[in-house]
Amino acid sequence: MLNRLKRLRTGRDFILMLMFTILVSSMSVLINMPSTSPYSPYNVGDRGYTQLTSLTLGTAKFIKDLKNLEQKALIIIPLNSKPDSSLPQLIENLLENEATVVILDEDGYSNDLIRYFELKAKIDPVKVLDEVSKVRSREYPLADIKFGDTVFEVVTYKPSHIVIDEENCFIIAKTSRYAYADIDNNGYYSIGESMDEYIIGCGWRKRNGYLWLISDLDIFTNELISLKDNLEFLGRLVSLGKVYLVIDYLGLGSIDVSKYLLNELALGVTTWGNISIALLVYLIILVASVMMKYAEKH
Amino acid sequence: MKILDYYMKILSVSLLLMLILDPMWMPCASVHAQLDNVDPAPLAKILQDVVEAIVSGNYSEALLLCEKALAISLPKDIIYTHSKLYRNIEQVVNLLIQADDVITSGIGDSSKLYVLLNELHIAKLKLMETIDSYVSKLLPFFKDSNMRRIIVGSLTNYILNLDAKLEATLTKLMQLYLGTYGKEIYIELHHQPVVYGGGTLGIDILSITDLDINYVNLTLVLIYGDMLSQMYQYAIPVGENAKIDITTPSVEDIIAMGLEPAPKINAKLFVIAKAVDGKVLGYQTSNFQLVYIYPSIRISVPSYIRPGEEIEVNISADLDYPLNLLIYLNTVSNASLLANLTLSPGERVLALSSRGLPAGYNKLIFLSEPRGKYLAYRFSHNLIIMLEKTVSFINTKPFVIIPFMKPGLEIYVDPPINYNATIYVGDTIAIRYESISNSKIAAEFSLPPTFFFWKYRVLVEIQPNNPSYSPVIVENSIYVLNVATLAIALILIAVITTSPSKMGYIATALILGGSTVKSLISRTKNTSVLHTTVIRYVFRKSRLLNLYKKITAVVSKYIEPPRPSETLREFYCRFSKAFSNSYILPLVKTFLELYEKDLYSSHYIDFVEAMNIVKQIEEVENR
Repeated sequence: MLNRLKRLRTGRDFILMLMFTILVSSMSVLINMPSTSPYSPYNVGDRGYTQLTSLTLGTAKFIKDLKNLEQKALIIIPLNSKPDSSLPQLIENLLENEATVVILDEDGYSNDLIRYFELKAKIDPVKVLDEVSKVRSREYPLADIKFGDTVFEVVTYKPSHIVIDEENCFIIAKTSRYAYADIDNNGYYSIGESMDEYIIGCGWRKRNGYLWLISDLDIFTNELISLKDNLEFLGRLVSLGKVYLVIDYLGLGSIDVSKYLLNELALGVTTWGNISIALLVYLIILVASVMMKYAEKH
Repeated sequence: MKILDYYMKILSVSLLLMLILDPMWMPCASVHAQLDNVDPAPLAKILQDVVEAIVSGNYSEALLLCEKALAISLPKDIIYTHSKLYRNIEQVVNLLIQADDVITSGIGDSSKLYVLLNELHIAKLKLMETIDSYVSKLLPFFKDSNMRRIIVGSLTNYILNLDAKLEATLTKLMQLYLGTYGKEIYIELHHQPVVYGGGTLGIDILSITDLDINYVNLTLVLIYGDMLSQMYQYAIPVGENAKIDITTPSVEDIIAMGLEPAPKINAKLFVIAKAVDGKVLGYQTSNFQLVYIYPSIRISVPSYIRPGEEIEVNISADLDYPLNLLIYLNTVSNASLLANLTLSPGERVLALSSRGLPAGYNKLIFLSEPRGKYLAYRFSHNLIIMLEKTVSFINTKPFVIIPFMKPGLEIYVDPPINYNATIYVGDTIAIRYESISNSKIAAEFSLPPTFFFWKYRVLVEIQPNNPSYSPVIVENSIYVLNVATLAIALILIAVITTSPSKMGYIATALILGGSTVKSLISRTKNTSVLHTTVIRYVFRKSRLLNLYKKITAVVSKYIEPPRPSETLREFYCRFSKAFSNSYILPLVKTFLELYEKDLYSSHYIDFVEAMNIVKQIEEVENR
């Protein structure tokens, strides 16, 4: 009888242990496994945005809803998918509240938005290459961004270019005059392509705030953020106030969204450095229990 | 607290598993693919911009663009030429800045001006050469031939403009150097546009002047590329054609100066007319090309010869004058020099001895020494010294039983030539025959000591004494059986195994050791026969052993523990006599019965009952 009871107890232990392991491991996998989605805040690879928060020491924050944001904040909106029709109105509200909105767009998703603000500019999604002013290869053209008295030499990756038909921009970022829009997409300068300075970024004073348009989604990715003046440029933006990066239009998958929700819901499961805080808490509990048991015995 | 402790245990094990499963360190690789090849069009464009800036006199812009160009990261195969080009351009721009200063502010120190003139002239020549090389490097990178044609055409125009600009600056500097009053004598020059190295540059000079002079002193300066210059002085009559012949530097002159001659060198001639007091009365410049050529020599060598045959070399030389020809074998060194001869114009046949040349591939290297207009010429040819194939085979007895048989073999050689034969057994020479003329011989040889049985490899090397025939090695194997040693060994073993010595017993014990059940040996010793049987018993371990140890530990406090010679029942008797507790005694008895059953039978044992007994005894003991 006693033996049977023992066996039952052992089996129950095992099942509980297994369930606990599966639960904790699943959470761990979900939280800690790096995402491979481009521009994901949880992608630690070259094309991810993870270093955006770590290098700004948490000043930059990922958010999923534009409503109820701080006033005078800097809001970066990367557009990797077509935004919904409510975005222009949301941005307008933010601009009314003296916010600075930076739109990163390579594929022309922001053209309707620009029209909404009656600006004579549009994104031409043809990629710009530069063999002369570059980092690594011509796919990484350098763009000079004049910000106040400082000129930042920012590395981009296959950016598009902005066609502007007005002179009201207060800021303009340009490539060197040896850049060209690779119309036939063959990776080389061809007859008919124009070798000239291309506008990669521009900014307008709108309502009470500022609206920026940058035709490259990669300038803040893990691969480029530490190259040339990209980090200094980000630092200058961060100095304007709290920075929010909106993830709604990145076209992220359900796993990335789950990661985001877990991070928002459970403070303890965020990843700090390379150590899961949750893991740290579990370890502390374990040490405490061992110490309690030791104290009980003696 | 117990519940918390229980869940903490589960948590700790789960944590351990989680740590194993935790993929937080999992690398996530997503790297952009990069274009490896250079896009040449932007490189050509920046060069055009630099050249345009120089031509338009915007030197600061040109230097900025040079700096930008030097910062471009490029593949290894082009970066050297690219950097060299822009360094040369920077040098030229800096010289142009100096030249502009001099031209604007007027002549200061004439010797410095002369240095600047020379430096700019040399820098220009170097730059033009580097641009040519750079454009040649860029050409393969163009994917589209139309694009290549358009860009190279445009670039060529820019380079021509640059050349003109540099030439104009040089002329201005020259004018400044020679003085502003240098038009009192007009000089007319005529000479051939191209002259071969070491040849004569025939210059027709006509000097015309209104001055009342019959003769004028001329200084002729010839600058050959960026390498060397010559200066001559003549006095020629005014108003008459004067012919001056100047011998240009020969190729050996250039080599003697430690320089490398190029096939084509741009040269410049300056003719300066001076008065007796040194005053410059007039000057004239002109360009010509100094050309060096490779000698037209055709050499024909047979592809193969037989050993001992002469190598017939046909040489056809279309030369203006004789050259020295050196012939080397395989490498160029004094030790490998085969012939040193003077190669005259025309055709000739040369017979070289092949004595001492090894069979197989040989490389003949022909080297003509540079002379006059002829650059060094090198030609190599592979020559095979072919040997006639020698066929040989051997016939051996496959088995040799010693000491009754002697090993031997028959050697056949075809064709019947004079040869040496060496027979190897293993790695040692068994026998050697010299100067054999028979195509078939029988040979006997001795073997190394063989104890019982061995396989030997027999090699026969046939070395023909006629060098036209190739040496040959044939191989066979023989098995050698030494009957005498085998018989002795067998007898020894028989004696050892059958004799009643200690050794025999030890051998027998060794054979028996390790077997489970064997009946092996029947050993005869006069009249008796010994049979040996070895049996191994296996006992299973009692399941109640640990409980039994616990019980004995408890009761040992009261009586002596069970002795090795004592049965369980004997132990119980002793225990019951010494210990009279009515509660413990039946428990011990029941346990010992169970233990006895477990030890010596296959009956079912109630393990739980045995555990309970032990627990009850321990509880009583602990009270």
